[in-house]
Amino acid sequence: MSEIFEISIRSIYVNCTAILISTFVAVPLALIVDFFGFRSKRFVILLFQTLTGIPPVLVGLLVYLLFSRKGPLGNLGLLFTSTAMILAQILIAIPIIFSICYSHFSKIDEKLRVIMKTLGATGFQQMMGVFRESSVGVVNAILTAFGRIVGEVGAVMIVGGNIAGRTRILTTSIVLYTNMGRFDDAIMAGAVLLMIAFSVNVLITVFSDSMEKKKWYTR
Amino acid sequence: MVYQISKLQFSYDSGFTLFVDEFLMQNSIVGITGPSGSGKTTFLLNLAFLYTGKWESFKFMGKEIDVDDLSSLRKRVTYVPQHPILFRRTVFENIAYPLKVRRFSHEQIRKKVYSIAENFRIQDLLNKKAWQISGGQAKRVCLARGFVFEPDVVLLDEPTSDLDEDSGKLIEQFILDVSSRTSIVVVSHDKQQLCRLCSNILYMEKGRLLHTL
Repeated sequence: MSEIFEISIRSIYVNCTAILISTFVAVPLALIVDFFGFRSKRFVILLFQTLTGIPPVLVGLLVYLLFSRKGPLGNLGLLFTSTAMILAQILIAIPIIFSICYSHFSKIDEKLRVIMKTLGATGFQQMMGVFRESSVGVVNAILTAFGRIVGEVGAVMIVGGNIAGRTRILTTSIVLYTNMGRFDDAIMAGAVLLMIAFSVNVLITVFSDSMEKKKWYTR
Repeated sequence: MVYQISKLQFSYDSGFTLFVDEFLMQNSIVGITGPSGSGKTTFLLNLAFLYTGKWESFKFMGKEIDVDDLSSLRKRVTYVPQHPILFRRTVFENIAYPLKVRRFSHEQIRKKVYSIAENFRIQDLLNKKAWQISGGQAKRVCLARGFVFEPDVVLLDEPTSDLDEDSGKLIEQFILDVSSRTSIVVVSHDKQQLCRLCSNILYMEKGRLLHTL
């Protein structure tokens, strides 16, 4: 039981850190790409859309090669650590959050952008306006990416190594317990994983609803 | 002189071209009328510095405008479109938006919003979401949002379309009241309304500002 608890805490840490960093990178990036016109804009969008479908094991392999002893970042000694697992999950989540957010940002009515301009909003304020108008889409993007990485096993297995007490998380432990015939433990880990996914979904949804309902300066 | 424009030209990719040989505007209410598709809204968008065409001379408040500094000019002029466009927020937040982007204090925002809401008789709507109000109410909210920060110029595109008679009269009276401190351009198909409001009425046809009625 204590093993499952320890694995669950590590899963929450790895998944939540990865989703937080991915959100802070991908959402502003999508806003910038939406707001500014530049030559390779279509290529950037297409690249991220393509990367949403990248097989996680391929991401795992790339991160493995990057951090392996002979790899360019081998001297950092990050292979088979939680940091490597977080990085792999970030690489999986960023294209998903970017693509969904961008599709929502780009659907904002052109007339609303004109209104923001004529009411005196600066470029940054216009971007914030677009972000706020698309907040439901942003939450949807984060939840979709979280759903993808919370159940991800291939990449974290490769870069984390499923080491007991160090890099074992719920998904990799389910694989291990199943192979060992410890089905009760596997089912327990699966149930905890579902609970974590459910709790995070509820938390994010409640948070976004409370933001939506917040009223200002009313008397 | 608010606007002093000579040989303004703006073209869409579709081929439609707006050409204004000369446009002079003193502190007053100027009306523009003409058939649909004649370029009235395009002209307003040029006056709001939202579209940038070519010109021989374009002076605003006596100074030749700098195309690299249109964002600061936009802070002094506002355009209120014919069809109301609101943010997915409360009515209060919609009206407060131009004040918020200008970094007014919370207390100033509250005062100004409640004051303008009373003028437009929308004080009961302030806590409602934008999608919970009717089209006519949304129109009044858009107008209130355009006037709340007291810009130098307000450009109104069909300000009383979608409004009932009483609301239309209320808006007309408000326009007349504020015209002493704010210059206003009104685009309307209603020539009688323009006669009631404006000291000068211009006619547009096929992208050209033709003559005074």
